[in-house]
Amino acid sequence: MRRIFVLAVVLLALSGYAQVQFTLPAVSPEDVLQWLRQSALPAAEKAVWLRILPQAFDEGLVDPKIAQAFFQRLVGTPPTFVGEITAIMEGLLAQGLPVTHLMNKVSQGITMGRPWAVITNEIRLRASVLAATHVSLSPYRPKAEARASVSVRVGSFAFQARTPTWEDVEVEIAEAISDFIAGGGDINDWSGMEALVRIRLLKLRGQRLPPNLVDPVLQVLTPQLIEGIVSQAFQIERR
Amino acid sequence: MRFEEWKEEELIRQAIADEISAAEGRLEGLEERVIRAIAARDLECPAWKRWLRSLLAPRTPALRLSYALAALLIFVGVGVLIGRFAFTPEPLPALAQEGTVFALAAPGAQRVELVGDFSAWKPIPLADPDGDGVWTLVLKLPPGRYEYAFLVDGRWLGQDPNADEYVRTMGDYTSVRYIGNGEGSSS
Repeated sequence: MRRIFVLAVVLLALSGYAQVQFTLPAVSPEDVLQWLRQSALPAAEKAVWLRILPQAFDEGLVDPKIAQAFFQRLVGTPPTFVGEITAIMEGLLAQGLPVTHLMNKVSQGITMGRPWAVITNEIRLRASVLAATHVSLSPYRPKAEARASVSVRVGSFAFQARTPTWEDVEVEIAEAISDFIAGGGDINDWSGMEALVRIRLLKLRGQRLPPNLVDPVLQVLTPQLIEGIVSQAFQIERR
Repeated sequence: MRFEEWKEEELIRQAIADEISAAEGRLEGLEERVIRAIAARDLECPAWKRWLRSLLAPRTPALRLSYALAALLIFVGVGVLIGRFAFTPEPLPALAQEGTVFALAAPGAQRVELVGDFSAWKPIPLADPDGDGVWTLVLKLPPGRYEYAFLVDGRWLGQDPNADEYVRTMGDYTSVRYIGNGEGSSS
């Protein structure tokens, strides 16, 4: 009788739900650089990355964990693809812009099995919009900003808990606009893009992004501001 | 009836009576001999055959009160637990505090995985221990916006019915969840 009860309890516990823990291994910047030196990436691109990455890590523009996964996926892809992706990201890093989310986007595209040209085009689009957002929002950038980075562990996940920065706000705005355009939205529908950006910022306000960074942007966010960003990103003459 | 016919019938009757009286001796103890023969044959039979025969042999069911009560308790318990976990409007309230629940109904699938920006798009397997076709995974994620999709037998499934929104990236959909401070999101 006792066995039957134990068996019933075990089966119920198993069938209720399954909690599978997943851990992305903690990766240091040095781990990434070491891996990169020994990787089979094309020599020219490898040299570029080894030159620009140390500073990018120092400035928090690249997350080592995401970078490691990105480089692992790049190995074995066509050299032209590696070259184009490297050039795009090198350009952003030179402007002091973060590329972690674009590295992740490349990994996503490869996981989806999308053609190389499709991935490159989307990364180029997102990079252009990010650069334009950075320029357009520069007048509203806070004068002084606290920057801190600490690695915390939430459950089995190791996260790089960075104090959110102005660049994070820029990335969210740029990504919202890019999602709109990449999703087939009308490039001239600035009101639609503005609504999407506003919703995204409001959802992240007080969660991932602090109000003191989001509120000034929400105050100046207009379809005209979005028009300026899109026009600059695609070199369109403004009316 | 003629005398000859009567005589013939009488002879036949007499012959049958003689046959029966002669066989009487052989019929004595017949049951016992048959039982003994069957028992001897059973002993010659392999053990597995005897076990199978005993298993298949018809028997009178015996109802034990304690067994009946145990079965009733399990039945009620399973019913209550299934109702609690599967059919309440806000499922798994306890789990929601522990992490974000990702769940997908994919009956017949051999493998279901979760990929997302939180895992650098590396697959994390979901589990379906009871084989009901509902694959689940609980992850602890800090507050933020997360893009993800399921891989069902390696096939991209970007529209999770439990997602907060969807984005179209590189020609296909990706699901999005917003995780707030100190709260999980369950599906």
